[in-house]
Amino acid sequence: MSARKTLYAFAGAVLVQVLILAAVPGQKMYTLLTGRTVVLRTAPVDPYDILSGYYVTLSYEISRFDSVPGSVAFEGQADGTPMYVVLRQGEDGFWQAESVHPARPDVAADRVVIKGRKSYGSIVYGIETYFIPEAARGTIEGDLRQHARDARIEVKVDRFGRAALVRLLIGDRVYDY
Amino acid sequence: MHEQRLSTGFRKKLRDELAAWRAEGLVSPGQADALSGRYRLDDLAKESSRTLLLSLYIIGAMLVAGGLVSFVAAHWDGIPAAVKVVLIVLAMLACHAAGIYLWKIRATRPGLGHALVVLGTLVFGANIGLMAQIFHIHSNYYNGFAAWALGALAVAYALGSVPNAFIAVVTSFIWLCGWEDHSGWAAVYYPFLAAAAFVPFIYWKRSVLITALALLAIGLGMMAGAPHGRWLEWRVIGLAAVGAGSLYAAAGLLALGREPLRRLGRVAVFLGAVGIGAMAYALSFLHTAQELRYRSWDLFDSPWLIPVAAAAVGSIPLWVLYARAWPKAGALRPLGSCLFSGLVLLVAGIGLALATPSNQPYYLRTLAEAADITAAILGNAAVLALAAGLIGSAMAAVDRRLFWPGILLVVLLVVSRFFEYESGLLWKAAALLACGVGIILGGIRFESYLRQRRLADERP
Repeated sequence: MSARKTLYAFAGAVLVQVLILAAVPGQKMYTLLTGRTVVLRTAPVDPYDILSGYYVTLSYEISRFDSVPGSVAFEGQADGTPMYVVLRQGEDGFWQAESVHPARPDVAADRVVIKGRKSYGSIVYGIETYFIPEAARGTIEGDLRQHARDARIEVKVDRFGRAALVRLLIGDRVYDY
Repeated sequence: MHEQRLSTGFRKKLRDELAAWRAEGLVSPGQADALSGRYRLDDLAKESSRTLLLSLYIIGAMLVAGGLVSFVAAHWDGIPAAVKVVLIVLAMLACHAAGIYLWKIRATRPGLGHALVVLGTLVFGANIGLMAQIFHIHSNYYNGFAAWALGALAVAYALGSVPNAFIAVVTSFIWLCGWEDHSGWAAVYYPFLAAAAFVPFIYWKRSVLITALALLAIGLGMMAGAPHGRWLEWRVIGLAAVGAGSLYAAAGLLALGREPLRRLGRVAVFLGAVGIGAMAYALSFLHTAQELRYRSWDLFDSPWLIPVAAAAVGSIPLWVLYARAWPKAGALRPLGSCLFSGLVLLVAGIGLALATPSNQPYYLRTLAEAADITAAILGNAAVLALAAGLIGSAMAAVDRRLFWPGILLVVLLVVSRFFEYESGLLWKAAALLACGVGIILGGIRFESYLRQRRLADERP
């Protein structure tokens, strides 16, 4: 290969690496830009180990089979099975599950469809991890312990049902990283 | 020019010999210079210091990168997300740009330049994780390794970089492990994807390291497949070892006959013989044949068999080609023919065990037991064939590296049979004594044979 061709090939390879890096948050950026805002009630997964590393592991009301009407039909399905959950905003402002479907249903304008996957007896939506700065760890940990019932997450859900985390809210505090 | 592909070991030996030939007057100074030029013997010192320097540069560059990462990490929390993204992408581009400048453009420090390009790919891998962290992306970890493998492979092909190919093989294998654990389909796709990704690179760069790693990764990929919910099923591992072993052995034996590919051929033959030998040894136990027969067809209710069958079928034309080239195979002819015979015996044994129905009416049970015994005998015969091939080739090539594995296989077989069937301490002691004495006598005989052959070769 001539020197010029080698340089072009290398430039192409580096471009591939840059495109891969750009693709990592690509879908998330699309969801953040085009998605509809939904607020979900959340709780840390393990109350005795709220922060593992520098992220909070979150679980939602809509992650539990018993909070999603119609989810019994998915109990026999394999892990990884897609589950399209229809959400409707409650009077308290939180969005709650109304029904679940194996394919994306058409819904009225006041409903939102979020796509999840069956995983070890619950439903995961790809919004279960919230990375936090090391410096804020103590504050967030304290807030979560104090206001465990008042923790909520603001997410965006795009037209394909994909969700992206926007911010964490605990009591009257807002954590936006 | 074929001499460029000769191994460094051969060239070093030739350099030493050439000095002796010159001193003894066997070659004239002009002929010595011509040989030295043909095999680039003067470059040997430069080449070995280049490899050492590259290793040192890679280690140094990684330490510098570690220091910089720690420095940035200390201030990481206070940096806005957009700045973080710019910083990590710039770090990667800076490594690549400095590397290519020193390696290919200015070409003053090729070793350091190559190390920086490798560092760029390592930073790229770290950046995938950092991007996921910055944007709160929760995904299966193995997807990140797939992306890393792809980026490393692109640079490996662009520059013919073996260290980048090394990163690609390792990360792709981690991807396989994570993927297989989650979906169970990885083992079906991975061997094909890995073969398509790495075999052309192996053929191009003739790297023994990448050959060994890639063949291992592909073989292990086949073995990772299993009927649903039974990961690391030993019968799958065994059958995959035979499929991959047949392909590797046939391809390796063919490559041994072509000088530029000889070193890669050795690796492939070794791995192929290990695969075939391991399963043959397993089948030499009666219990293995019974296990294979018991619920044998449930093994085939999953697509894991596709790459294994592809390897087995793909090896057939290679064996045909090898059979044609066999008369020219030289000292390794016994190994080739015995490997093939061992494979045929092994496949016959496995086939018999699988084809014998597991639930027999009582009047046919004796037939089923006879089939088990025959399969185990075929397994023993396959191991013996392999041992015979190794010993035969050792005699023909006057090479003790092939002799001792052959002898050890025979001993292993004898000892295993005694421990399998005979519990009497006296018989065990007799068998161990016989094996020990056999090894000593065989060794003395072989060493004396080697001495005679060498003396005969040295005679004018």
